[in-house]
Amino acid sequence: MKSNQPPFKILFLYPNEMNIYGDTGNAIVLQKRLAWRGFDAEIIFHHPGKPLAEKPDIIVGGGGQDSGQRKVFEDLLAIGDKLHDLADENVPMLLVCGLYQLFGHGFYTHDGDSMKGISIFNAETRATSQRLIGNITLDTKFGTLIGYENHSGQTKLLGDQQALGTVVKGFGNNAEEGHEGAVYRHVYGTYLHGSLLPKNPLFADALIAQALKNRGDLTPLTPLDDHFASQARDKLLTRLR
Amino acid sequence: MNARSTLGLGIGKLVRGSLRLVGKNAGALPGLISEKIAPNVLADTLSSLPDGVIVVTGTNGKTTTTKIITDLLTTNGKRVLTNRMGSNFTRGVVSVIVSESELGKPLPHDIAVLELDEAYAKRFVQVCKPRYVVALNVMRDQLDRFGEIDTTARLIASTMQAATDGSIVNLDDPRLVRAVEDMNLEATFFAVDPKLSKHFPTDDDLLAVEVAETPKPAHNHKPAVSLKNFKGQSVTYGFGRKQVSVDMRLTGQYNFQNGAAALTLLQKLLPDITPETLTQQMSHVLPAFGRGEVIEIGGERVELILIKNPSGFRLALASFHDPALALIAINDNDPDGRDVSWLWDVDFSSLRKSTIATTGLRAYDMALRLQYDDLNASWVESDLAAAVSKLLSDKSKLPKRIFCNYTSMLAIRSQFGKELHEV
Repeated sequence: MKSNQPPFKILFLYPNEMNIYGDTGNAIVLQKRLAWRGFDAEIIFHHPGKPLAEKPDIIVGGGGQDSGQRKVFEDLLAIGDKLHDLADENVPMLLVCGLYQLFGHGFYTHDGDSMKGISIFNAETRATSQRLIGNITLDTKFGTLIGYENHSGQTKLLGDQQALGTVVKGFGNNAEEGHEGAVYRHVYGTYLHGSLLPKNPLFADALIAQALKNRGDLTPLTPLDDHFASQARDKLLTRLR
Repeated sequence: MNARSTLGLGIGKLVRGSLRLVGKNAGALPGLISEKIAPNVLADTLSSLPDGVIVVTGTNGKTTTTKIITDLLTTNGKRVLTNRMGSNFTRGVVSVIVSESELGKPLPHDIAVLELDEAYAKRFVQVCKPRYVVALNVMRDQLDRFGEIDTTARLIASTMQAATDGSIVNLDDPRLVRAVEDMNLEATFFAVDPKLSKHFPTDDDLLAVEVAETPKPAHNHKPAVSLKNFKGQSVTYGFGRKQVSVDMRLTGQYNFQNGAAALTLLQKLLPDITPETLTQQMSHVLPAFGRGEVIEIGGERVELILIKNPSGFRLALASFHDPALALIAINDNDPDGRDVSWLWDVDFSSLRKSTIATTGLRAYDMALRLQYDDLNASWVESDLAAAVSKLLSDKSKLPKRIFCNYTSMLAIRSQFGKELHEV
């Protein structure tokens, strides 16, 4: 281990409430890809009502059920200012599904009820009766991203909010516009779970490279053995064709 | 039985016969059709059973528990109607009745023992009141259908409420115990001895990323039957002060726990049979279809273990401690769920001493999952038949074990149908 520096902190937001679609996989992948390269890394958890850990290197969060989202949104508003500061300090973050929605302006249900978000993304989400579900692929600057989407909330990007990518197969942010996810600096919001990072190692490494850069380490990342990931990708891409 | 029910059963039988003629397995379709024509077909037919109806429900262990109860009742001379095929939806139950009934006559059975999934159990008891409900556990599964785990617990609570004679309840499942207390239900408990509890985590303990143990709430209940100890296949059950030890054919600690549930019920249903005799009889019960059953393919012994959800997979892995040749078969067809992200909620590190291979439509996803637990898939073969042949041809002395999800199990069984024997 390169033990002359403190361990990398991968902060996992609301593991009990927002973790039903295997989003744990994203945290595991970041930790292992750091460890395999000789960097000590630990996954730490943030629970509602607790103070946000100091100096996280990477933040990840997942999707939950409506009840889970309702349990965390007030806590998210309470730590929102800190998350804005971290975003502006270029801390890499990956938010999937329910937390992606709450990193926008908010979530509006059918009956006009709403959960306010923290507005890191210029985007808003409305509940619909249509469930967008299935395998999904995107063109992004990290190459083709592959995942699985399962959401009834549909997200509109507002103003000049940049998307994460263009949908090749599947739905993405909403059923009409053909774009998916949102990006602000190094904060990525997306509907792709599955888990996302295991089958998209280039994207995982981009988050890791940014975390290293924030610590002043600009050494290129050692390549890892990703042949199972490429075969899993090839297999699925062939089946989706 | 009224005219409409008779008509419903008749048409159901006709559909079943026609499907047989065209070579299709009947499954739940005849039941669906009978149910449409005579919605009360269940209640009408089952109410004629002299020893009533038993419902077995919970997330994991239904099939094995139902099999133990059915086998022991049969051993003791009861004629049992059961949905042995794992068709644990209401319509599957109606299908069983359609195939077993003779038109216009009461069922030729004494008692029905039915495994019902949590949502269907609640609907079932609205039309047919069971004598006893066996409530095994509440764990995370099929969240797309049930919503969330507390909802599942409520479904089971309403099912228990409908029992005329009481429920058989897992004393180690805090949600079920709370339901019994809150609703003041008539219940008899089974349990695992506290010194074994580390082998039997509850769903809250199992939350993938959390390390904190959930303290179990205090209660004053005493179990009627408890699993006292196990080592290999040697298992000890406690009945009050009395203890009985046997060597079980069933494998896996969770099946030993299911055994405690079955014994608790059987003491009520067969009051004249001693605990010693019941436990002895249970030791001969063989595993159910795909629940750790041992089969032979071309003379080679293989264990088949069906895994359908993260808790089921974790429990299956926790049931084996010996090194093995393990083949993990993961498909993503509709009945399996198209989404395989749940594999990331299972910790595979207990396979560290085993040799592991993967197969199925998602063979590479599974190999990738193993990689992140620092485990190496020694080979990957997407084609199920080729993978099973490769496993069988391995000359190793280690036990051969296939962990498979639903359609991969069906595919393996149909591929090797002719050479496959139950052991």
